[in-house]
Amino acid sequence: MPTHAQTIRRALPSLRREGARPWSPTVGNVKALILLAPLVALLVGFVFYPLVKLAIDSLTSDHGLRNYSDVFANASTRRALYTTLIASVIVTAITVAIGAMLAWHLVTVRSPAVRAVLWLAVLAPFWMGTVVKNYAIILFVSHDGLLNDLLAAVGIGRQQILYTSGAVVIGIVYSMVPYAVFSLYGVFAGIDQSLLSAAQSMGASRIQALRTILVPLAMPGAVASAALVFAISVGFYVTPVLLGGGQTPFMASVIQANILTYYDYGFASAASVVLLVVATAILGIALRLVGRERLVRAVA
Amino acid sequence: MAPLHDRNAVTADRNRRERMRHLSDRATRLGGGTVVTIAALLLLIPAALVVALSFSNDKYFNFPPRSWGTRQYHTLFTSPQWGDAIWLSVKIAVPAVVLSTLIAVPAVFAINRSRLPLRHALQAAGVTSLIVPLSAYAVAMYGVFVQLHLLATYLGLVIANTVLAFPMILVVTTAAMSRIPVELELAAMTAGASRLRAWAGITLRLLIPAILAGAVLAFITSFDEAVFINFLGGPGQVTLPKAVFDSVRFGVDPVITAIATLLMLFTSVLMLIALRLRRTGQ
Amino acid sequence: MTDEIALDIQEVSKAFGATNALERVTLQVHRGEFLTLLGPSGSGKTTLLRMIVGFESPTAGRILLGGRDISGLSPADRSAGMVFQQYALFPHMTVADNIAYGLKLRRWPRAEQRERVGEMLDLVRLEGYEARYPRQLSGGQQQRVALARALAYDPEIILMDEPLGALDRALRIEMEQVIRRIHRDLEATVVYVTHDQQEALALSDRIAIMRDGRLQCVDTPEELYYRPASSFVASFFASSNLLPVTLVERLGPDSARVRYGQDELSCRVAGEIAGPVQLAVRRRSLRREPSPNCLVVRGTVAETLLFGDEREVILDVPDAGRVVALIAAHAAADLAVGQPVELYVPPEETVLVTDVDAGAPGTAGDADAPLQPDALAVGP
Repeated sequence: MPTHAQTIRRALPSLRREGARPWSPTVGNVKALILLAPLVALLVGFVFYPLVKLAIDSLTSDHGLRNYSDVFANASTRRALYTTLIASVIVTAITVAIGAMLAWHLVTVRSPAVRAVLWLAVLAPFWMGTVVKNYAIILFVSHDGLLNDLLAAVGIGRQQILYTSGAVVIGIVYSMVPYAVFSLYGVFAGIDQSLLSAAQSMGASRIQALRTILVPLAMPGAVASAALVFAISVGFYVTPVLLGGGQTPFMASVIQANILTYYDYGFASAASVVLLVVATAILGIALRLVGRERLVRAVA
Repeated sequence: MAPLHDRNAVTADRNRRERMRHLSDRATRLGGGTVVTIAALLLLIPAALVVALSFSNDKYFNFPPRSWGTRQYHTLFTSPQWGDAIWLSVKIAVPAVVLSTLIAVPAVFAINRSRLPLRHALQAAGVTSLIVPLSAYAVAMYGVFVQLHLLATYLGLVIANTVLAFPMILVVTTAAMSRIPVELELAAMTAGASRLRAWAGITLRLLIPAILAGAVLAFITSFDEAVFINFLGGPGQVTLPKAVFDSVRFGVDPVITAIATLLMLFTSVLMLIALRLRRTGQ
Repeated sequence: MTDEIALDIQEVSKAFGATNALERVTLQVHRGEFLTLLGPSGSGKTTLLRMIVGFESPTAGRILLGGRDISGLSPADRSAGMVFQQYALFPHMTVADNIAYGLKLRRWPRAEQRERVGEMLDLVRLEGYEARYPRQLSGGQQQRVALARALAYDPEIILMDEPLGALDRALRIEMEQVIRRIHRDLEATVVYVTHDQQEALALSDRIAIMRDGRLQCVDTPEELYYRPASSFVASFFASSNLLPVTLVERLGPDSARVRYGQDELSCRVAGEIAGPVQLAVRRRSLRREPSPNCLVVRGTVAETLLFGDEREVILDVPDAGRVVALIAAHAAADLAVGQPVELYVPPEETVLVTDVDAGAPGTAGDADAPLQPDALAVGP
């Protein structure tokens, strides 16, 4: 074994020369900005600039302020806005309720087989992709589809579901449930389950324990999740067009028709700003209620 | 013996309440179980339906099918339009994923290792494109693309897909980075590594599974993109989702079931790979 | 240990925003010395260590290692080896690659690297573990690999940040022996951070006691234990009781006469005496049998706890609050809660100290003084 002194001599010559600039333990702001430059460029150029330009264009292009009066004066656009908002509220309620139940079962279920099936159910819409899952819903709810076969079998009779706002709600719920499950799964997994056993050991019934322990603890996460589901639902494009068809009024269809068929960019931008304002307001309220941290976590 | 009688009454009362509670608990579990079962079935049935119908041998859509076979797959592989659409989707997704990685990974380092003001706000802003109403955002992009002459161009579509894809890598890599102790870098630097070398040799090396997982998710996001393409693609740029969209919109072509089944298989394999990668990274 | 100064910390201060984490710390470490930075959490000991290795930069002052100013150098250029509490082994490298990491960076030839890794594994008694990955090792083994990694490239100084903090008690004692042996065999200069005074006692040549970002005193374990320089050192380091006394007269440089209640006695003096004073009495100095000229502590038994061979007896003492005594279990068997009792302290075992906490909250005389060592031993 070489002596202490020998190894020192071996080690020292390879040390770099003493640096000219003093070392700083944290990465300097300039270096950090260089690393962030691509992200900042993309965000500024293709996220913030488009949204700001959209707002400005909606006030200045084509008919100026009349873009907005057109949007609100037009009875069919008003109906589309109304339908979109109501449908999104219903979608949010159903999605969060189903998502919460699925997520809670995924967290608590003991049987690996049941858990695997539940995960498969949650992931199936995810794996299908945006367009295909709407196609699957078309097959499911069409006049001769499985759902109508079932309805006929139980004596309700065949219903026209496809190309109604009901079909759109089903389609968006089908698309959004996996997202709600993912974010709520994180919320529930972070809750100590022994709290529920503790409540039940003190005499609470299962439902009392869920209501007094689980619900308050999960509420902020659920609020964040609901706000996101709503904001995303409002902007759904593929589902209203494919499942709603030409006759069911949704904002996405109105916007699409105006921009791609009538080339009325001013009208489309004003209608888009209305959607953005609604979504931003809901997200803003959620932000106030539960904080940025939780909201960002609900996205991821 | 009055006190004993009282005690018996109390015990009986407690037993009754106990029984009621057990009953209500069982009802709660049963009710919850039923709802979850129905929900799971409703989620699974449409997917199963697509797969089942892809093996229908009927020329036109029938439910239930009159005959079974691989006719749909045969039609799919012999018509050129689908191949072109898939190729364009890949041609857009690959550069979008590469750009996304180059944007997200350095940003994650800067956000986690510097004291730049607003760095956390920037991180939150990174997921904006995931939460804005997409049809409104598409109109906004339309306005900018008209201005920059990017409408209906390949470059424009790569940019549009990058905007939607990079948050996947940003989110997954950030989560992974928070699980890597900064002490590893410090240990490397004390042992003689420069900061760059410690980043590359230790932290980046340990982040690779997460970055790959994020890249797979980003690829799926781009490959599946169906909204921007409608607004920004124009008639000449037909990606796979756009082709399927148009086909579904103008009628129920049973070939779609075959595409859908293959797509499902493809996506699920990719997602399982991503999941695997994220696990190994932990 | 030699007289040569290896590490020279000169008037180093560190401010985080408005709070001062370190205030004008000056400290010399000799070559081959094992120096421990000891203090409660938030005392600045870890900040000082991180500054020596280069993870923080000082707001003022400078740090010299082997005579050269390293304050502005990157950790890579400082020739320090660091051992972390959570091991910080590279999870994607084998044990051998972890240990060879610093050697690779110094471009040692492969054969020498291999040879050196072998030597290091011998040193930490992990022969044959070259090809294992960190996750396949126990906590104690991982920390030995971390030690080997820090020693491999023979740095001028080894820094250890609570290296035993993540280990259980039995492993801690084993690792203490490993560290002591390595320090002796390699004549390495070591700066060691801990909040555990037992660990500091077992390992150190000298101990620097820190509190609120200031260096309280630096001395050998014996001096600090038997002749504490202040009330803080007495209570924190030796868990001594602090009794309220008044100084009657100084009898010389290291003794004085004090009054405790109605009694007067002689006691020893170790540090500077300025301002209000207290009498430090270690817990084992309180006895059941009187000795000549002894200090008499009168109180009622508030609580007793059996610690095996010894019994901890907590007394309520008028004017002094709670006084803790450790008495041989057989001699304390008759003590019952609520019973009045007299305990006796030989005068040579009492030390007069300056009450550094006079006027501050939580001073001796409070119900929960003196500071319990166990309370400090938990936490990070």
